[in-house]
Amino acid sequence: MSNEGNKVIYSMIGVSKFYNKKPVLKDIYLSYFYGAKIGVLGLNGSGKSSLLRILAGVDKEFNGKTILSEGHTVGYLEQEPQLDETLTVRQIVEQGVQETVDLLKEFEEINMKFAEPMSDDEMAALCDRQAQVQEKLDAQDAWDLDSRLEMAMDALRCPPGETLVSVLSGGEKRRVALCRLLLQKPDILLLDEPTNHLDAETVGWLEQHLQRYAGTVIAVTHDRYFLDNVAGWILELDRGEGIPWKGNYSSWLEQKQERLRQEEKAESNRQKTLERELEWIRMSPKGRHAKGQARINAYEKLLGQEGEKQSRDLELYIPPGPRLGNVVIEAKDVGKAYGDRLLVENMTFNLPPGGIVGVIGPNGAGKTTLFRMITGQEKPDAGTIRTGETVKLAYVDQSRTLDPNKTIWEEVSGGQEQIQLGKQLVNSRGYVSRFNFSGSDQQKKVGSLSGGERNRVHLAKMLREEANVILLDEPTNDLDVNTMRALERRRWRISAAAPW
Amino acid sequence: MISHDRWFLDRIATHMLAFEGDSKVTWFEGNYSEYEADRKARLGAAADQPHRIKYRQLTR
Repeated sequence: MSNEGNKVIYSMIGVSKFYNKKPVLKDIYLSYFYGAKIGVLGLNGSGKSSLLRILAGVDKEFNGKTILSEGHTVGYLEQEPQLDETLTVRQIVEQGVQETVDLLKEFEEINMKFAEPMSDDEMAALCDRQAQVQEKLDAQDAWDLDSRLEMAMDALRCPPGETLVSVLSGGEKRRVALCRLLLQKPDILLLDEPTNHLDAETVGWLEQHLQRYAGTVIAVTHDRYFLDNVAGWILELDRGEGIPWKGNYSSWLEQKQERLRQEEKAESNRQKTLERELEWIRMSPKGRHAKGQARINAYEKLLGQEGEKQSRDLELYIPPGPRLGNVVIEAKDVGKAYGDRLLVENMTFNLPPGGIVGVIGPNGAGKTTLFRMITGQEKPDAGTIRTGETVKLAYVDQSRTLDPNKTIWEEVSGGQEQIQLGKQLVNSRGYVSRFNFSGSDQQKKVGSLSGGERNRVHLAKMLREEANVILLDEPTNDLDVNTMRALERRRWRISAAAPW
Repeated sequence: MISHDRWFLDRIATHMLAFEGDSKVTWFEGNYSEYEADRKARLGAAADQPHRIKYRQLTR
């Protein structure tokens, strides 16, 4: 369909959104093409999730309007999908193909009725109905529905079909909800962090699926590979504005850098203009003689311009720990089982000093159990795990046990103005600010924070400890691109003897 | 570091420890992309299609 490429399927007209009178989205005009694959970028709190909620029709409290072109459907994957707790995984997934499921049920009922006594007329009517239903089922390729559902659930690594939703973890719920959504095949797919909680292999599969997806995909994500592999458009949300860019993430980055440079220039031009104007205003009345009052007005106007501050880059600091010996972590023929499930068998590795190990694999494969064996919280059933004598471990885990009633600063600093970082005594507020918490942010209660913010608090707290081996469990989940970039840069500053 | 962020893993990881299913854990020297290339070479087309994790049973 060649003309589909330029067909606008959804529009936002002058959409603004306020939280406590603070604008999150400012007067946004955007049109979305059918079949476009759009990645939405922006710092934490820049309104990405708000944008999706508005597009999904979940949030109706906004100014302006949205227009969905007639006869089209919208599907939405939330960060924390709400599923009916009384149903099973299979029942939720079936909702994605509800029409087919209903037809199959009817077909079965018709077949049952044939066994009952009936008049010739009734029989003829039933035959007609059966033919109609069968035709529809043929058209929908419904006869292999079972295997199709099973395949989808398998590809997304959903829990077994008979599992009750009420016992699922947050990540499992997302998989099940995503599975249902992809089976529904809406014209517009809205995905809020689709790759969170998915392992790399599943993400690879999802990328291929979305590339081939006929409809429009609008995804909020921090996953840059996902953006590069799937997105043909980038929509950047920056200080309430929505700035579209045609191209993938890499090409967007380049133009972004160029734009920032321009912005800086414009800023300094404004400074110069301001300076010149000031000079003039300070001149003696005689000196200004020739120049008109208009100039003063220009100055007032210039000063009145909203000096929108740029999002600051942040810098994380990880204190170096004591020097490591040659043995860091050594695993030899490790075996570990849970019940009668063998999680790992014959696992052997030797982590060298300075090494940074990425531990990957599906949920439930035993990654966290490995960490617990390294920290000694659990013992291997076979083989040995040895940590070197010089090793000091820090473990940043997923559970993030933080005190909701404390402020960010209290939680990280323990209430101390000065904290010990390695051999240095540093100002604790300065340390917390390196995790991108401004002075006023630091007074926020931990209980009121977003997932990403809580993650940063946890990192700040754990990285204070003097350690030379750091175990991180999903450190980049919910961290925004800037934070991750800082974390990545850190790696080059940590002393060579400090693996993560 | 347990992570699923391939961008991140490519830029900082020196080694990969991959839980590949069937109770098998592979230790690999290199970053994520290098590991992926190696896995694809080992598994062929099957590497593109994820499945639910399978465990070896202790008792048969």
